[in-house]
Amino acid sequence: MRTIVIYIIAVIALRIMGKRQLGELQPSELVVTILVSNLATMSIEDTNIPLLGTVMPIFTIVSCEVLVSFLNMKSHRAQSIISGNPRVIIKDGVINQQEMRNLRWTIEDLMEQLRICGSFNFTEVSFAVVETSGALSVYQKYLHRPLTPESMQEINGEDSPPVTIISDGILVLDSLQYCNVDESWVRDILARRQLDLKDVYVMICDRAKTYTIVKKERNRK
Amino acid sequence: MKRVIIAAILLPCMLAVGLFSMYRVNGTYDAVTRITADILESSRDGHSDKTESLIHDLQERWMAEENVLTHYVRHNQIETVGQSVAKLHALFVNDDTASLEAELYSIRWQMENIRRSEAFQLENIL
Repeated sequence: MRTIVIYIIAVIALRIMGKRQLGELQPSELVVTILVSNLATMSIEDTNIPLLGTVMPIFTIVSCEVLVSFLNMKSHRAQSIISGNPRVIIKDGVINQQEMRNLRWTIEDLMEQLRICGSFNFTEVSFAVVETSGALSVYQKYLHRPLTPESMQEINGEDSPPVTIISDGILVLDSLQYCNVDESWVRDILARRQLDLKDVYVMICDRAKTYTIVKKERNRK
Repeated sequence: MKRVIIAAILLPCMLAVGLFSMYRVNGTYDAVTRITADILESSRDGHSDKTESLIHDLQERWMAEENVLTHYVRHNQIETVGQSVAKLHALFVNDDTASLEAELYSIRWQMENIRRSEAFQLENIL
């Protein structure tokens, strides 16, 4: 009976945490998932522990996690402190050794991750980014990418992945530098569309200055 | 947003349950400590009737509190106190004053342990 109750509580706790946690674990989410499973196990194994002694820590941890996720969503500074930032470790086929040292990645780790992503040679990689979850995202140079009608057109343009230059109304300065544009260029574009910075949910742009803007939706009930 | 609201409600609820459990444990500790002190005193003064009545009070009080404390406190800790409380009457009837006093001190010591383990103290965290 106790096991069934704890199972139901664990399921409710995971539902409160949301689907995001199950699909892609951030460092804090991984810690929470492990803690919840350990707490549930403890109470099932040891009947000396009162049920509240399991329920309270589980709900407290899950509530803290949801609130931290909310803080993450609302504040970029909090996000970078809690989850860290994505790190570019290969740019135009060149490995950023300083980032490799910062991430404590060996060349074998990098090559393994590249192979998993389908690339056996780092010189074939245009961009490789270590995401905050620790996964490697690879953007291959167009010569080494499978051919698609879209990539045929891309050959004529500059080969660079788009990056986010406005995230939830906030300018991402590093991305401006990457796209070789400045704040006034962005503001000009927004002015032409009669938009303010705070009206933009996301704006992505590549080095060819091809951009996409998604307007912020008004809060729905 | 719905989840954030649920979390924002859950967190103070959990804190309230924690505080309530501490309040209940402290209340039980105070009551048990007071009754055991009275039993000790009346036993040393030789008031048999009063001692028996107090032991009876303690047993009744403990039976009521035990059910509540099992929600908050480790069950083995409560069982130890319960066993000591159950022995008191037999020790009193057999006139084993030394063992009776020892059990009373044991009950107080166990309750003190429970109270300390529940309290919000730095020594608990560390």
